[in-house]
Order: sequence, then C-alpha cells, then structure tokens
Amino acid sequence: MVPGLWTRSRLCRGAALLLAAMALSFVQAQLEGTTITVALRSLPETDVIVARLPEFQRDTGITVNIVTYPELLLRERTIADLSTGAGLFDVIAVDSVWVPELVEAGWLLPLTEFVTEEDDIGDFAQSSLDLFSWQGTLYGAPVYAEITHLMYRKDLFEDAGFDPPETLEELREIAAHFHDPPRMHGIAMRGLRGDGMNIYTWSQWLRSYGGEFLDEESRPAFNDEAGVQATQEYASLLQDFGPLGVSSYGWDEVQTAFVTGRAAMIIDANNFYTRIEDPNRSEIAGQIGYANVPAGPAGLFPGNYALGFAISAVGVDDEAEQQAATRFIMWATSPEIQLASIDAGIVSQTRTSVLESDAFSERIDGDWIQSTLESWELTHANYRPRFPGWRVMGSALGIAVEEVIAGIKPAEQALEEAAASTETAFRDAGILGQPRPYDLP
Amino acid sequence: MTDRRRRWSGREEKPRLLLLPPLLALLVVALFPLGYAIYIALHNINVATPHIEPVFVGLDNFRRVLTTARSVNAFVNTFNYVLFAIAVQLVLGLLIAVLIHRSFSQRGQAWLAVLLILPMAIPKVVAALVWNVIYNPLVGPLNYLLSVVGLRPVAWLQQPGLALYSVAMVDVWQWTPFVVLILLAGLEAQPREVHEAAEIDGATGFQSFLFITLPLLKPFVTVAVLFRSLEAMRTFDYIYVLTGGGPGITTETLDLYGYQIGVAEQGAISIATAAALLLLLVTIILSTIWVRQMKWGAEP
Amino acid sequence: MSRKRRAAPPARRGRRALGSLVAKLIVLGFFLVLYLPIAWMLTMAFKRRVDITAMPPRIFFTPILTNFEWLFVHQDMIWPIIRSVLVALGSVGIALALGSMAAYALSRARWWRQQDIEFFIISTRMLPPIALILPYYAIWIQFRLFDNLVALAFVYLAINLPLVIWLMLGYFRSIPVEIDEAARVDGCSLIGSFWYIALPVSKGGLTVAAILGFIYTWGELFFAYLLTAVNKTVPVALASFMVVGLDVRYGEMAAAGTLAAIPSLILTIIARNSLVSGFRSLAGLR
Repeated sequence: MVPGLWTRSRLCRGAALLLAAMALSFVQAQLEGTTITVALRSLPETDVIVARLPEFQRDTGITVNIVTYPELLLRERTIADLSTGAGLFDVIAVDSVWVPELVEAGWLLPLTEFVTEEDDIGDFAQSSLDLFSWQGTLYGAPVYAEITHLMYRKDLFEDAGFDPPETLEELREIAAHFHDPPRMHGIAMRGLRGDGMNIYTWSQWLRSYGGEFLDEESRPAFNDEAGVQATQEYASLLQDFGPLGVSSYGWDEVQTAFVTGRAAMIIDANNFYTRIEDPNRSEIAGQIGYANVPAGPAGLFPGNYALGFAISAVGVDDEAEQQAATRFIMWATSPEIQLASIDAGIVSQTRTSVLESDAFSERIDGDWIQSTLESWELTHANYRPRFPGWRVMGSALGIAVEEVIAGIKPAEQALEEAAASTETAFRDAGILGQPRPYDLP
Repeated sequence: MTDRRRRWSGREEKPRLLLLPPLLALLVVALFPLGYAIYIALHNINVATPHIEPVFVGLDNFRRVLTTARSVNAFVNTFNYVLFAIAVQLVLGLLIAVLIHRSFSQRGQAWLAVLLILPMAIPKVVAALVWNVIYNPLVGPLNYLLSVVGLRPVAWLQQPGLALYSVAMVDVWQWTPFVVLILLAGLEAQPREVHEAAEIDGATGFQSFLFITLPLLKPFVTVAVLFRSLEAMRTFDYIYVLTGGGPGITTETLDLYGYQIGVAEQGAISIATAAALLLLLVTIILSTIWVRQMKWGAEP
Repeated sequence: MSRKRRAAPPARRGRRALGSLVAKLIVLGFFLVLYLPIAWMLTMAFKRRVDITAMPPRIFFTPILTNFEWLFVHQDMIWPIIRSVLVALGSVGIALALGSMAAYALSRARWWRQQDIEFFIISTRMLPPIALILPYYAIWIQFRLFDNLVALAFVYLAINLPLVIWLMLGYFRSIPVEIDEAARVDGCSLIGSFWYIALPVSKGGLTVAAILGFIYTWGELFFAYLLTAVNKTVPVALASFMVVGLDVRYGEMAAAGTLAAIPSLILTIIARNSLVSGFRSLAGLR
C-alpha cells in the first residue's frame, strides 16, 4: 500500500465529492427560497398532494403556494391569468383538450426539455401522455385521468333480468323500462352547457352515429345529417327518460340523481366510483354495476378527460422558478404520491406501475377495473378533438345541445347557429380553410 | 334651501380641499379605467389569439353587439330581470314597510331592522347555493312542498320561460328587506300631524295612504328603485351559480355574457367591453330620466 | 268633525285592533318566508351530504360538526376571514373619511355644475364590473398589483365611496345651515364645524353607510376572484371550495355561509337604534 497514492486517490475522490456536493448545493441553493404558485383543481386526488406538501418544501427548500379552484372556475381563472399576461401562476392544472390552444398561444413551456431520466416519464400510461402532447412534444404531466362508462343499478337489473345494454337501442329500451317519474328515471346524463360538460358525453353520440366536428377544410361539420341525428337521439333520450330539469344537469346533478336512487343508469366519468360507493354520500353503495358505454351504428366510443400539470410561460420568470416548477410537478405525479392516494379511495391515477399494483386491484371493484382498462384501449385522444379552436367550438356546441334538450330549439336550428358562430370565430382566428388540425379517431 | 346655500358660499372660501381627495380617488378607480375600457372597445382585441395584431375598428364592436342575437338576448334578459325583481321588491317592500310602521313600536322596529339586515349579510354566492338546493327539482324542499299539496314538480331553474324569474326571486328574497328599510325610514320621517288631520277630516285609511302617505314617500321610492336597479343591473353571482346563463342562453344577462365571451369562452374582450359600455349608457340614460320624472312629480 | 280624536267609535277601535293583528300576522308571514332559507342553510351546515339530498327532506337528523371542522382543518378558512375583515375595514374606513368630506363640501358650498358633479359621483356606481375588470387587469399588470389586498381595497372604493357620499349628502343637507353659522361665529373653522358639529349629528348616516359598505365589500366575489390568487377573500374561498372534485360541498358551504354572516350581524345589532333613521338619508339626494 503506497500511502501517497492512497492519499491522492482519497484526495481525488474527496475533491470529486466536494465538487459534486458543490454542484448539488449550487442547484439546491438556486432552488432554495424559490417560490412558485400552483393553480390547482380542487379534487380529493389533489388533497393528497396538498397534505404532503410540507415534506416537499422541507426536502427542496422550495416554497409552494397552492391555490385551488373548482373545475369551471379553474378553467376561466387560468385563461384569464394567461391571456391577460398577469402570470400569477407558475404551474397550472390544465384540461387535456386545452393543451393545443395554450401551446399555440405560447403560454406553456415544453415539459419534455426539463424532465430527467429519474422522473420515469415512460411509466405514465401512453394514452394519458398522448393527451398532453401537441405535435410530438409533451407539455404536461397527467395528474388525473378518467374515461366514461355506464354505471347501472345492479339490483334493479337483476330483478328485471337485464344485462347491461350493449347498443344505444338497448340503452333506450332499458331506460324506458325503468322510467317511472318522479320516483325513478331511466337515465341521467349531462345536459348543462360546456365543452367539458354536456359535450363531454354528447360527443359519444356524435361519434357513434358517424358524425365529425370539422370537415377537411376546418369548417364546422357537426351540423350535418349525422350530427343532427346524434343530437336528437341524445336529447330525446334525456327528455323522455331523464329527470326533470336534466337540461341543466352537470356531473353533480347526475351523481345526485344516481346516489339518491332516482336514476337506473348514468353514463359519466368512471371516477364517480369514489363517491357513489361511499355510504356517507350514497344510498346505493354496493348496488352498482359497471360496463362499457353502449355502441352506436359507427362503433364504440368511450370519452376521456385528463388533468395535468403544465408550466406557465407567462408565470415563470427565471430558470430557478422553471426548475422548481418541474421538480414540483414530478414530485406531485410520482408513484409514491399516487400510491398514497389509493388509500383515500382515489381511482384516477395515471402511472401504470400504480394502476397495476396489488394495492389498487385489492381495493377496487373488478367490473370497474375491467371496463376502465377496456375503455382506455378503445378511447381516442381526439374523442373531443384537440386543436387550438376547441374551446370556442365546444362552448358554442354546449349551448346548442342544452337548447335542444331544454326544448328551446330543434336540433337543426341550434346546430346551425353553433356552426355559424364557430365559423365567425374561426375566421377571426385564421383556422378556417386550413387542413383539419387533428387526426380522426 | 338654495339661496341659503348661496348666501353661505357668498362670503366663504369653498372647501375645495374636502372635495379634492374623493374626486381624485374616483378618478383613479373609476374614470381612468372607463377611459381605458373605451379604448379597448374601439379596437378588436382578442386575448386568446395574441399573434393577431389588434387594430382600431371604430364602432364596429358596438355594431356587432347590437346585431348579434346572443348579445341582444342578453340585453333583453337584463331588463326583464331588473324590471321583475324591482317591481316585486317595491310592491312587497311597500306593503311590509307600511304594516311594520303601523303595528310596531320604535323598539320593536329597531329589532326588526336587525332581522331585515341579516339576509343581506349572507354573501351572495352562499345565498345562491342555498337556493340551488331549495330549487333542485329532484331533491329540493320547494318541490317537496308542492308534492305534499299534490302538485307536480316544477323545474324552477331549468324551464326556459321560468328560470330567469326564479333567479330574480332570489334577488327579491335577499334585497326586499333593503327596500323595506328605506321605505320604513321614509314613513318614520312623515309628520304625524298630517295623517291625524286627514283622519279628522274623515279620510279612510286607504284614502290617506293614497293621497298623503304615498306622495310623501315618493323620494324614498325613487331612491329605493334607483339603488336596487343599479345593483340588479350588474347581477353576476346569482346567475353564475344558479344557471350559468342556461337553459341555453335564456338567463344570460349582460354581465354574464360579457364575462363568458370576454373571459371564459373566447377572450373577445373588445366585444365584451363594448357590450358593457352600452349597458352603462342605457343605465345612465334611464336613471337620469327616472330621477327627473320623480322630482318633477314631487314638486307642486 | 269634532276635535276629540281619542273618542273614536268603538266599532272603529275594534276594527283597528283587528287590523293591527292581521298586519302583525302578515309581517310574521313575511319574516317566516324570509328566514326559511336561512333556517335551511343552518340545518345543511350540520348535515351529512346524504341527509342534504334525502327525500322527503329530513327535519330530524343526527347533527355533525365535520362541515365546520373541514373548513378549518382542510381549507384554512381563518386567513380568508382575516383578509376580508381587513379589506372591508380598510376600504369602508377610507370611504367614510373621504366620502363624508366630499358630502360636506357638496352640501355646504355651491359648486360649478353642482348637479353634474353629484351625478358623476353617483354614476360611478353604475359601471358594469365587466367594463372595469379588463382595464384593472392592464393597470394591475403594469404596477404588479395582483394579489395585493391594498389594491383590492382601493377597487372597492369605487363601490363604497359613491354610497357614502350619497348617504351623507342627504344627512348634511338636513342639518340647518344656521347651526354651522352659529358655530362659525363662535370662531369655529370650516373643518371644525365639520368635525365637531356635522359628524356627531350624522352618526346614523355614518353607521348605515358603514354597514352597507361592509356588507358589499364582505360579499364581493367578481373583482376579488379575478384580482387575487393566494390572498383569497371569503367569497373567493367560498366559491373555490363549493366544488371539490365531482362533488358540490353543500354542507361545508352552508357552514361557511353561516360563519360569514356573523360579522355583519354583530355590526347591525350594535347599531340597531340608528338603523332606521340612517336609511332616511338615502333619500336625501335630489
């Protein structure tokens, strides 16, 4: 043993370590004391993040201000924040369908460029990653993902000897069978206007009847024959077999009608599970069956929605904030946090390692898992088309569909008006006449 | 009054310093933003498409507002809402104020005043949410009451012709007490001798109400109506929570319309602002006419 | 007719007593309708979600306190309350100071285009919020005022200042100028007579202005929602957690609404004796 050499190598190693430590502490120091503000949708899913935030702040020295809003308010608030340049929020929770518009406006930073190997992006379900990509670049990390499926009263179906409906005709027949207002209603679905409200489930009908949102030159095409038929079917199903006032039903009302035992079936988000199986909120817990949505003439089209964290280009001022934002996003969507959320009864995790874990399958109903997995296979990222003009079109469509359900206007007229106002907006925005900006499902 | 004031100011320096700070404050918080709003309304700014350079378009946005079915609908809804809410509040408020004035002592009135203020003290958002439960067609207590009496359930907030008035009833619920308070103050201020004299002259209660009480109450009615309609004109919270403008756009008032197309749906802030300015214009014209009419009526 | 008005015929007296009873019953009915929703809110605050949506409505249920607990453990309701109180007190305080000065000046001197000045002040109350919000946004960006409670309090001046001026103008006009003149003769300055004579006499008006201003500011959602983020006020906090996930939190909402009504309630109880007379001055504007 040559002491000198030993010393030298130890010295070298020491120096290397020191250097590494310095580099690390440099990054740390940079992030230490950085403050980021996060606009979050208030979800039980996000409660876990909020609850464990002190750990993150202690480990990284980053101060995180969390501001929560409910669904609609969050959408409006973030758009107001981004579009006016206020930039209060560094990290925003965005709906998957909005990503293209926000990216095209230059309001989001590409997440792909900041993540490291360690963050294991590949662990996210591919379908949910697709939802947050635009033109091949990833802009957000999925926090929460859902598909639509059919939820029905297992007890009533068994008594009547029905299997869950597989086609829209069967859906209608079964709804008719159970409809006995005001005590019981055949079906409840969303009627309230909004690109994330009635259009979320209405799109299934549009696609099931072979309709499409835009033609090859980006002109509105949802008012063609298929679109009108789909809208009429959707509306008449709710008018004939839905609860009173269904034209203004959001998910909360759909859920309330179901958990109070006033609706035999609902088609809505699969994550209703958490609440409809909770005896504190539901009178029908344990009596619910789950199945894929029924198919139409053109096929089977479950809907999808995902919420993700993205970095606001308007809010982030410097390198440190941008790094801190990335660290926060990757921590909040890490397997550790998502695993912890299973205990809270959450079912909308986005990491494959979590969804396939034993902890998940032990707690959750088997039918639910099966229809969820199948629906994720079947659904398409452009179920609701993802392109910069979606919000304008979705809003106009939402009003039209609500008007048809409420019986204010016939389907042709309502869709015609929506097409006209969409066309005006698309002309102003320079979308009209371009090739259709999204792939077909 | 007028010449007394003239005499006073004739030999006094004007207290300019007293008027300056508040006017300055109003200039900053109201007048300057107003000027900026006019600037926005004269350009075609859409915040959702930042790559398109805004240009001066003159009165084009105002033309668009006045010729678009949706915005015209918003104007009509706003006025229907205000007219209905204020009319009910005034009639109901008058009745209750007169009855309270006649049959309660001074002390009793003071406590009733506290009870009258309490509903106003609940934030509008909360009031709207509570009413959302009450109106719920499926599980709301209101429809339950109807079913007890044997009536069919009503879709209070979902039926196109009815929804706007159901929302207006929340306004009535929360703000009729305000009208009662103003009118009560007006009744308190009336000299008792006049009424006693009328009674002695053989006037019936109704006659004395019609020919003495009401005319004396006129300035209070004027101010109650003015005050309440200015507030009702800008209703946002109730409609936003209860219907969001639906069903369709049948309850979309102007403020909500501006919010929807300016902030929530499209980012078309120029059109939203133009619509808001038109509403301001109409409000100013109507309230001027109202104040003038009532004043001319009051003076012999 | 004779002047003996106390000797009204017995029939008339009886009718009057009956009339008074009917009047009291109608008033009672009015208050009943007025307070039913409030009572409903109160019960909701102590109900589980499944009890709130139960049909027929549950009058008897096992009350729970988790709704209130959730507000403070989960949602940190303390800070929004503190902020709202500060903003309301600040804004109303400034409005009272500035507004009563302006009203005094307007009532005690004849101004160039007096009517127009008065109308301008009142008309600032007519501005639709949606017309103001976008300009505010522009200014807020320029001066980095977002989330700043002082700035928010100033915004509320646009609502409170006209209200105070309106109310106090009526009050000051009703004070005879002779009292002022007497004071001036005794060597009191203009400011002095404002401070020592006009203000003390107008306590009722000041009280009502303060209460109304407080109520408006305390419950204002629109501006607070768009101009703050972390520093939420009570209405924004309320609106923020009325929906959590796919769940409208009616119970928690009702609990919060109950709490939110308390400050104004306390104010009004303290001021109850000058309330009715205070409202009188609202009509003082001609």
